[in-house]
Amino acid sequence: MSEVANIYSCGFRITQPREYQKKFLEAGVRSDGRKLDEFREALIGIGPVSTADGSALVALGETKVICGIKLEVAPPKVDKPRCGYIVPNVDLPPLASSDFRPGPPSELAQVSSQLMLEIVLKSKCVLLEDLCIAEGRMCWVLYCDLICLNYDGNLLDACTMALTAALCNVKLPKAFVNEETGAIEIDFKQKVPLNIRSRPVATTSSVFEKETLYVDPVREELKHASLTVTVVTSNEISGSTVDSDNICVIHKTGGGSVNEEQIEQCISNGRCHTPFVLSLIGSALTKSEV
Amino acid sequence: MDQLLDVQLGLLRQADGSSLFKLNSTSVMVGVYGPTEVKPAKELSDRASLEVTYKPKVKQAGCREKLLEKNVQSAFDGVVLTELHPRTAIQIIIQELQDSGSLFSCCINGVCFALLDACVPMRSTLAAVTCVVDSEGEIIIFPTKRQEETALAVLNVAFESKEGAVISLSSSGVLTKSKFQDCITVCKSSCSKIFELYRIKMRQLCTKNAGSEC
Repeated sequence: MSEVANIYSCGFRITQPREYQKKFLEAGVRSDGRKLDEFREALIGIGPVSTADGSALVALGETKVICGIKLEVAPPKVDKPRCGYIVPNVDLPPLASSDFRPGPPSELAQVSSQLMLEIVLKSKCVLLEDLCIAEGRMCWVLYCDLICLNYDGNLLDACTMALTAALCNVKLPKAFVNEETGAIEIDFKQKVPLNIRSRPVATTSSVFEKETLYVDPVREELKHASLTVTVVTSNEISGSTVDSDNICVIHKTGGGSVNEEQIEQCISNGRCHTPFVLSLIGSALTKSEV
Repeated sequence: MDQLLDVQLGLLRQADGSSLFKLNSTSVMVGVYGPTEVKPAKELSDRASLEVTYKPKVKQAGCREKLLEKNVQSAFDGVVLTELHPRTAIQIIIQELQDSGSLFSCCINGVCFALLDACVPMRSTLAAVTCVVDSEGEIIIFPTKRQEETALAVLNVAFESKEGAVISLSSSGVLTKSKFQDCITVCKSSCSKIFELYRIKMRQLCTKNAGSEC
């Protein structure tokens, strides 16, 4: 009996995907058995790429993103002589999903890259002034490459987690100006951890047909969602405490309209989920130092 | 609200609809072509696909411009009655003439005017407002470029005219939840002037057209 039901539901899932999702969401559950406010299991690994200066691998359910950070030196911009650069780049290869085609970066990749830059700068995770070696002469450039290995929805949450964890893992070689010669010397044997002032955490919620709000959408659900809202909390680190009250980036995508109660719900989803992700990142970092 | 809002419709003869929208010193020129032929890769079987291109005044378009295009496209996807024109494309081209702050809201309002001029069916009009929270915690509507750069947070919201629901929302910069809600309230109350402008301009356009046919 259950085998027959299984065959019918598989067929239903393929031929009428929207109705399939609707049946679950109207009953207050998801097609993978989660509740509406339940997140997928997240796993973080620190330092998987030994050739990178900082790296992290994040698995958010089936969505897997790896972040590798490479350091380079470069002259700073003329109008900002005391600032370095952070260059995040999100790559969505055809390997990750049939939605991605080979060729130049897709719109989703470019938009995600721009959002990653905004998240890092606006949360003040890394201050560009901390990347200065010698004013007007040399600064650090952090090239952050985020590669999606498997795409099952909720790209922004996974990328933000990976980027935050990888940045916490970066160690800058000591760079100083030689007083006698005036030349800039970099000592690769002495490394100092990058000064991370906050740990941004992103939480994405979706709305189906104006009414049903759910968190952490999967790829199947995203196709029929009328809109998604990503809320990023900044979580400034001061001493040993983390202040998780502030939101640094909110981004809504999709054409559906959202009322103020739903926006509030998305923000509270973000704030509720933040401590969990922060503890996950924290425990992954302590494990990696052992 | 002492903002300078001005719009001229139908300046581009080749386009199906066009608008030149000015907000204080910021101005954009928008051209709309559609519904028109669509590339097979972008074809949607049940509705029209909205293609937004934003051309900055200097340099080439990069990721920042792509994000702006995506925000504009998402906003109008919810408002344009795309189901009426399946397997077609509605092309929206935004040319930056001057960016002196509040660019996002200028683009959204300009695009809405151009779509109205092109007689593209929509379920409501959109009014977009940009506001910033400055270092003293004050909320400023339609900031200048300088205010945007020195602000603690910048918020871009677009409301639709029927229920006043939020169609587009993007904020960047650290905000507390209560400050964020204050910003949304302030933005909502500033929309009425823009919705009023739509009605005035459409009335002018229709009376002008009726007069020329006589």
